[in-house]
Amino acid sequence: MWMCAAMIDWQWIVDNQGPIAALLWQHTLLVAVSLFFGTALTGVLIGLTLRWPASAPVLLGLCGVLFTIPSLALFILLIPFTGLSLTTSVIGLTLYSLLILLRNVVAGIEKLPFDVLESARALGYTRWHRFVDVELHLIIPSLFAGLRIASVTLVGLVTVTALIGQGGLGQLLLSGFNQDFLTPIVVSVVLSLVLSFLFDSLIAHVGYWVTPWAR
Amino acid sequence: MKQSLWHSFNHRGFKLSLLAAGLFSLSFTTLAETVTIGGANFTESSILANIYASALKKNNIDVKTRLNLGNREIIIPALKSGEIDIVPEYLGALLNYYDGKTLATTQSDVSAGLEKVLPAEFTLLTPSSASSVTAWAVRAETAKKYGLTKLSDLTPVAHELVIGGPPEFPVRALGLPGLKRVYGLEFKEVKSLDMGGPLSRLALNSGKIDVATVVSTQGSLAKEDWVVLEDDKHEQPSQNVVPLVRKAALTPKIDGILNQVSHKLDNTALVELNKQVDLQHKDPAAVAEQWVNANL
Amino acid sequence: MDILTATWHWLIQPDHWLSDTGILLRLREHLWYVLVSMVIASAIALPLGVALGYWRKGAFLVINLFNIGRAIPSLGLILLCIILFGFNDVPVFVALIALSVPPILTNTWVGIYHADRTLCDAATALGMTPIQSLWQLRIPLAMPLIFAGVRTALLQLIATAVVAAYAGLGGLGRFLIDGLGQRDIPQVISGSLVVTLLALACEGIFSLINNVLFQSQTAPAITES
Repeated sequence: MWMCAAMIDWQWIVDNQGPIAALLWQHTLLVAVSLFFGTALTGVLIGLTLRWPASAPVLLGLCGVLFTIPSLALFILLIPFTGLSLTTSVIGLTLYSLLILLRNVVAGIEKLPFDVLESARALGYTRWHRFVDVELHLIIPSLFAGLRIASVTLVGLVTVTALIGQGGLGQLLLSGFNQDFLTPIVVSVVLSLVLSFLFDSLIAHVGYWVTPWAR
Repeated sequence: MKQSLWHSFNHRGFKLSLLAAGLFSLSFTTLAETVTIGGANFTESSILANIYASALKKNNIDVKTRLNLGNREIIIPALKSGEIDIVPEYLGALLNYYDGKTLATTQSDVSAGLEKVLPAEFTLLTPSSASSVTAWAVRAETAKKYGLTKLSDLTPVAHELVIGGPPEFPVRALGLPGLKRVYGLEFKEVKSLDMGGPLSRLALNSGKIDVATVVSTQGSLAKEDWVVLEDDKHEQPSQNVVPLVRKAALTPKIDGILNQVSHKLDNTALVELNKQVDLQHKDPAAVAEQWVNANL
Repeated sequence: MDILTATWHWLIQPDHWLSDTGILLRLREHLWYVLVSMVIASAIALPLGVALGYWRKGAFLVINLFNIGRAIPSLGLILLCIILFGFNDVPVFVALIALSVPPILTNTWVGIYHADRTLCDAATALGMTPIQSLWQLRIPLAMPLIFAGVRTALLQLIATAVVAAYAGLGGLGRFLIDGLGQRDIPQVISGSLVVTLLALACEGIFSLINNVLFQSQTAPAITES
């Protein structure tokens, strides 16, 4: 443990806290923005699935296939179209968050207790009302479970975007590696972990708070 | 020092927040008042980009840096689209990017060649005397074993050796094909690593490769036990450092400042700056600013 | 559209398949990384998961500790390990094993821990000792879940092993990195295509095995995705 501490150049960390903080912020924003758009798109696609239940397996299948495409390839392929701006990263990240969220929410929909939905119909709920009052409440736990997984995955994926000039904390990783300098690499890995943990906790807490009926 | 770097990063952070509100429309907007300087993903490029930035900033021009963008294949399209305005380039490499078949090697030939092939929207400012040539290094013991001091010494023994280079090494004219053409070198195996970076260093030192592709001015050459082989047949073209600028972003003021920088920059300075960043782990922006304050 | 034709042309050149840097060799390297990591990860996770599920203590701590492996960016872990352990295959294995232990461990533990109470009581009633109950009942009952964990781990490994190429090593990621460096988009697409097909093929095989082996399972298994 002490040997590890000795291998790290603490002075460098102190000297560079400005840039490190900025990269951490960039990393956080990339994840948050992509999750936001991912959730919005998931909402749209879920609307489609509920309206046309037959589309669910097709969508899921497509998501499954897209998920096997290596993330680096996706980012590289986007570059000619969207350039080097943050747009490339956000588009790629949004797509990945969509894949994870969709899978979770669809699984949640499939688990919707049929008898509850039947009772809702019996009580006279319209389709739209049933969605808002009943289904949404039952789907939310799945959504939040998916958000937790997606956030941790995205923190890792943002690091990959360092290979195309972005990447938040991934930049520390690459420059440290280029200079054979252990400290920025360790800082990058530790901060990524902390960030994953924070996102996971935050979403778990928000999910708990938002679903009082599930306690 | 840290202030300038913090400022440029803060700029990025602010832009990111705007992005959340108007993603697609913002992504293709170029901020006309701010000059964006790009850099490739190696130390020297970061240093040079930061030197340009510091010099311009010292003269009250608003700058932003975008470093570690990747290689030329990513940077040139970004320059074309206006995402970056200036990037430090190397004469020979740039010519080969546009004209893969060129055989020009002297500075005047290369400059002439560039004038013909450079796209109309770009322009090159005055080249510096500082030059970073691609070179090849072997371990000291390998040099001793085969009596190697220059590249033509490799010709009889190349088939026993493994060579490492960046991913584009086997296909770019200035890479393996050039070595084969001028020196007749046929290696046992070619490994895809990086340009003199940590992968090459680790591979060369551990014996995984015998010859590594390096940059003549890189910092690690000062401390490694390697022999850099001389390019006796001048296969490699001149690689003077030169700012590549988007004509739309160029003003006479920028022209003057950057030409002054190129004039003051030389090989000794470049090697020294590289050493400070690579071996002493100093921040490229800090090192650049120090040099600008001392020399301009 | 001509990107697709260019990719097609890239793929039909036999040299791109058969040479020293061809698809078949890279596929072999890729599978080497994936399978070795899989075996070692299973060797760690399976016994550990069974032990934790059986003794019902310490699971929270251990599982969360291993979940760190899932949360660390693989690229970061590989580069860190290269600096620490040198330029060889070890960093790749460390990163891949760290990634694949959590799903197998979690699923194994859940399977053993949450074994159907009624069946366990029945086993005790029949006179089985706890160990016998473990081997003869709970482990077989947990098999679908364990299998799902292994399946998840395998697919993650196939996708993540491409990162070995950034560290200068082999595997299918080589086509991505080299394609990026050489401005050869057909190479990038071909490489990702092979990875995708490999993943889909494995998914298909596992589906088949799942249906064959576990079709007759009537005990409800808790599905973990």
